[in-house]
Amino acid sequence: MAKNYNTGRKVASGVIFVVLLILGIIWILPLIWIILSSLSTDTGQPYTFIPKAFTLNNYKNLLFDAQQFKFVKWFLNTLIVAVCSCIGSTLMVLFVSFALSRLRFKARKPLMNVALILGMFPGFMSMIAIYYILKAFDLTKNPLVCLTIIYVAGAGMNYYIAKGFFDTIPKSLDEAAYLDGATKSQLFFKITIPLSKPIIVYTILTSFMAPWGDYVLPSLICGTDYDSYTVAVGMFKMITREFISTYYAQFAAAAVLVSIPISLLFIKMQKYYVEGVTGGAVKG
Amino acid sequence: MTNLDYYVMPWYQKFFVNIGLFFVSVGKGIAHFFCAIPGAIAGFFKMIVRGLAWYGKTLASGSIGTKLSYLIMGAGNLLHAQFIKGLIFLATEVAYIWFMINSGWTNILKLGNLGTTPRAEFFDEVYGIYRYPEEGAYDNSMLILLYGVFTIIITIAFISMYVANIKSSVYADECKSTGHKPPKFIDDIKNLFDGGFHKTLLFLPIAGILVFTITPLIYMISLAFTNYDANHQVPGNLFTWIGLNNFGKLMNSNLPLGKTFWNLLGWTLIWAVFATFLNYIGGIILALGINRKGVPCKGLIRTLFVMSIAVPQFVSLLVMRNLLAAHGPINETLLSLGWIRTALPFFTDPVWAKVTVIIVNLWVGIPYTMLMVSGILMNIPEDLYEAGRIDGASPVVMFTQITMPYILHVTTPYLITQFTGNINNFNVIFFLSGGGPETLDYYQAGKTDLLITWLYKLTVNSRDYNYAATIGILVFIILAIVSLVTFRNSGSYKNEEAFQ
Amino acid sequence: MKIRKILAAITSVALVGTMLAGCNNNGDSSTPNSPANNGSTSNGDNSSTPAPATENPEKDVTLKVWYSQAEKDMIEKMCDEFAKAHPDQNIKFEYGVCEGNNAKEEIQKDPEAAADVFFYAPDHTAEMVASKVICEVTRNKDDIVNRNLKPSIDNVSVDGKLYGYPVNSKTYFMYYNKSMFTEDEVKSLDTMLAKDIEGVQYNFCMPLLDSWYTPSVFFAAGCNLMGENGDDPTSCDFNSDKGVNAANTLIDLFANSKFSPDKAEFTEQYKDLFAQGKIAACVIGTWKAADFQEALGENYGVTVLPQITLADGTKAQMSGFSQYNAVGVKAGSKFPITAMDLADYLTNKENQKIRFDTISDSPTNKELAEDSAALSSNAAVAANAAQCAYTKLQSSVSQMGKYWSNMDSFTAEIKSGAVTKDNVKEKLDVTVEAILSTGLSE
Repeated sequence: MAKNYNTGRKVASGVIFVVLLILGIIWILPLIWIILSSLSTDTGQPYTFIPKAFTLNNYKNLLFDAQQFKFVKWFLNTLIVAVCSCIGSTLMVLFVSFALSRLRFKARKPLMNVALILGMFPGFMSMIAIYYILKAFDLTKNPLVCLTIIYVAGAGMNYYIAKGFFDTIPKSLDEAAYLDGATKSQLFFKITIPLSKPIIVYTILTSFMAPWGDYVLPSLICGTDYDSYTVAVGMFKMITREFISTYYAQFAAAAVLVSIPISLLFIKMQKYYVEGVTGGAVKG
Repeated sequence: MTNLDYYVMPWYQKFFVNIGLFFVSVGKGIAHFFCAIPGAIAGFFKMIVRGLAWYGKTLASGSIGTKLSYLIMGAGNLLHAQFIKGLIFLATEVAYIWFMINSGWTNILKLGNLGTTPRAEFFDEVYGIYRYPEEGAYDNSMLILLYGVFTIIITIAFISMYVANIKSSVYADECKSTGHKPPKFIDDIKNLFDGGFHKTLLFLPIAGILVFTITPLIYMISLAFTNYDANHQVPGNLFTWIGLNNFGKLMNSNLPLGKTFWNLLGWTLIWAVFATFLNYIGGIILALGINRKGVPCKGLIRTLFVMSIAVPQFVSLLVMRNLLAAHGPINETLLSLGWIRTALPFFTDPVWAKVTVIIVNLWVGIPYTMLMVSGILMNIPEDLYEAGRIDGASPVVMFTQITMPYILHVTTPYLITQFTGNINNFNVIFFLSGGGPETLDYYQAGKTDLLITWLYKLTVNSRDYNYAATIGILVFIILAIVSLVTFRNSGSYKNEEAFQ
Repeated sequence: MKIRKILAAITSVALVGTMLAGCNNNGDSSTPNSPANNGSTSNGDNSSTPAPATENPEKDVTLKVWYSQAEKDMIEKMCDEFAKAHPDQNIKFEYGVCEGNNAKEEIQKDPEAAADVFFYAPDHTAEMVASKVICEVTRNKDDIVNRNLKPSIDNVSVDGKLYGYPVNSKTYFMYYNKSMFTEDEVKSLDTMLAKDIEGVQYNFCMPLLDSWYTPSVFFAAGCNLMGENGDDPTSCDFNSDKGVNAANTLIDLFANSKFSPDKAEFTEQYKDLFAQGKIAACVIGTWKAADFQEALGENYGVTVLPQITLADGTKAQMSGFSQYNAVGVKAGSKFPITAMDLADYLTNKENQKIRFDTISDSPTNKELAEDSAALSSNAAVAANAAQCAYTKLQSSVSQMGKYWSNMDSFTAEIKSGAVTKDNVKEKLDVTVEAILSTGLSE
């Protein structure tokens, strides 16, 4: 009986494994397809899964031929924006979530409600207004600065997950610190921050990844300033009508090049991501 | 229904009860929301009245310094030898007055009708060309509105400084009368890192949000009450206030606009329900499969799924779009195999397109749920199972009585954020179907357009900013009700301090 | 300047207002005041010392030019030549990338920062005129009108006023594989679709799902869009009997398995499909000529659109839109005179010849367009010119803004099966009503 049960279990596990493997392959197929098309000798849009012949030319052209598309420049642009905005955003998020989680003041609950409400307005309408506000500050000639400012300025509203994390740090720690005569700023810098590695990593990584995939806002801010495009805007341009027949393979190559670092980061940060998302939720 | 009834239910019934409760609470929340409005308004006025009373009383009873502060900001502090603080207040007042004289006052005055002088060219006889007035020599309704909103925000900030100035003076008076020394500037600075640390922490984030989120938002909300549509484009034309007309047009299902709105609202809700719950169920099943004891190569399988979400979303969505295109690899392969005669209408047939976007969204979304549920599964306290084993519960019972309830309990807030997130899910529709297939039934929208992508099309294609803003407000109202209610009901809001 | 003042005020208020003022670096609050720009000074000079109309008073000039990225080198070279040709002026250029189709959107987004000289699609003329972002062409107007083809001038004129410098003409015609069709066969669509060719999936491809191409059938059936001359925003007879006839033709055509009705974005695959021998003929414009030549080699054939048999049995030559792209000058440019001269220069005969030679652009310049010897060196441009005889001018009234998406919807509904021969009249009524609606009030 027990033996039957065990074999049954093993068979079931095997079946589940096979099903999962097939599903996993289905999930990954589009990505494999984009890798294959980036290696294709056909530069246009493919209509088969496997190219007729393979070449690395698309990568070579993408990286070294800046005639039409300045991919390397765009990549660096995005990297700069990502690095600057992730530093700024992380500080903002930590400030806000610490204040809302560990400090008590009159405006606390109203602020939390306001932040929640603000997050629910569709942002597209206000993008043109943001553009003109930046223009009033004479910044629109530097789209990268604009993008960084916008990302950082709005970051404070994404306090929710980090606050959930801070909420789980025992309050007794604070009390002990206050008894030792620590000020609130000392509590923040010397006790809370060192305890918050997972959430700091989580915040850094999410804010670092955001600019790579954002299209609508950068395309409005960058406008006609070709040299300041981010990869998303530039890559979208590669597959517009005028270019797709000649540049699809390079688009695929660009997609692979952008995805590799981002995927590696994401796979590394999985653990923190899960902790971040569930950390806030576990308390349910 | 008592708690006991709930606990003896099988998990799936609990699930439906939870969903039912969710909608009940949405209903209640809507009621509460609207009931709370009069209260909030009354509270607001009460606050104003109380503030004004305090204002008058302090003026009557305050010291010379305090009385002076009513006119010259910082005077009270200066008299108490708090020079830096006093000068800062004074500088604020001077800067504000200078700003109002220079442009602020005109900005506010022009808000009334959003400008009267349109841009007009004049003929330059000498060179035989048309010239145009410099920026600022004509009225641009859009900029007038934006700067007007900005001026109002600055004025509110100034008023709060003004009140702080009076309070500061009163406080200095109090210190004097009780024999303390009024705080020195260095004390204020110290306070900013201790008792008032929240001010230091929140100053930059709030300033950022005020300038780059709230100002644009108020501007956008204002647009809903104007006639800033395709026929009133700046800088050649002026637009002006038209009250609630846009809302009327949008709600009236006899007009093309209203018809489109109601239809798209319906599809948006259907989409959000399917996208959320299918992803949720799929993700849970997948996670359970992967985490099942005895399944080999867990890490490998999980990585396969995680890879698909690690790629930037616009890339993976555009890839999917190309895969499914009329002449894309899937269609071409099936055609060449002879399995189909004509290309499958993934994005050209309304029903196909709707199903396609929902399925592709599963591809995008399931790994996220899977990741999260995997995390939760590892977090389920082992002693729960231990207790179950001691009671002799079978694996099935343990699953239905421990695992599922735990997952459902923990992920309810996630489910809610997913639901609101899907209502506003711009990326999937925009990159995948672009809203298509187009249809004659709708105004500037296709069959798979969500309200949010329609809004985008209205601003970009037809430049009907006023209707787009109105839609934005309506979407917001829907979301606000759903999330405020559910957020309030969620444990993390109620028992915020439970774990501290 | 108003903006700067506001900015200065805001910065100082914001800095001063640091709640309890923790910051000492008040030095930052002084906003950088940029030096007075050249534009206002030179304008000032104008008014005080009026120069004769022929001489250009703009000495230190910075012009911003938008071009399509694909034309980057060519345009920059032309601009340099222009600067060389004006040694008395110190002309600097700034460049931005903006396709003609997006020019309207970009310029309306921020007219102040927009380019002085830009390429644009003629159907946006009226909208740009209405929002006053484009300058009327007055300088050297007679020459421009005289040297360009009349339709190209009409295409960028509103109410008799000229708003652009025509640069090229675009329409669509047929490319085909000579090994699959003979020169006689390509004269009739029926013959082409009837032929069985081995390995070929589609005998004929045309992006009829795109509203730029759809009129080829409606016009063939004798319909008019925006009146006979394309200048009457209240008229569209696509729902007349002729229109029903055209729509029925489309329904039949869409049902033909040897025909592929495509969206414009799928035309990108025509090159590969030609190379693979999967399609025998397709319809598109000059911009694909080089691609197809490469794909087809010696089998590269190009000609005007074929004759089509309409649903009621009559035969008609397929027609279409002809569009004449143009260069525009921004209203409110700081250097309008130089900007106009540059626009004029970029579209003159020599530069149109360069465009013809380098990117197969079909010229609007009369001398070039009528020089059949030169044109015949490029079969696609020749076919473009020949097809223009059968086409109608793509209207530039602002009502056209309503045409595109609504016509797209109509053909999309044919494709999805929502439009059938039974309800075609009602659907056309809805389409025409939507095309002619003047706003949302009614």
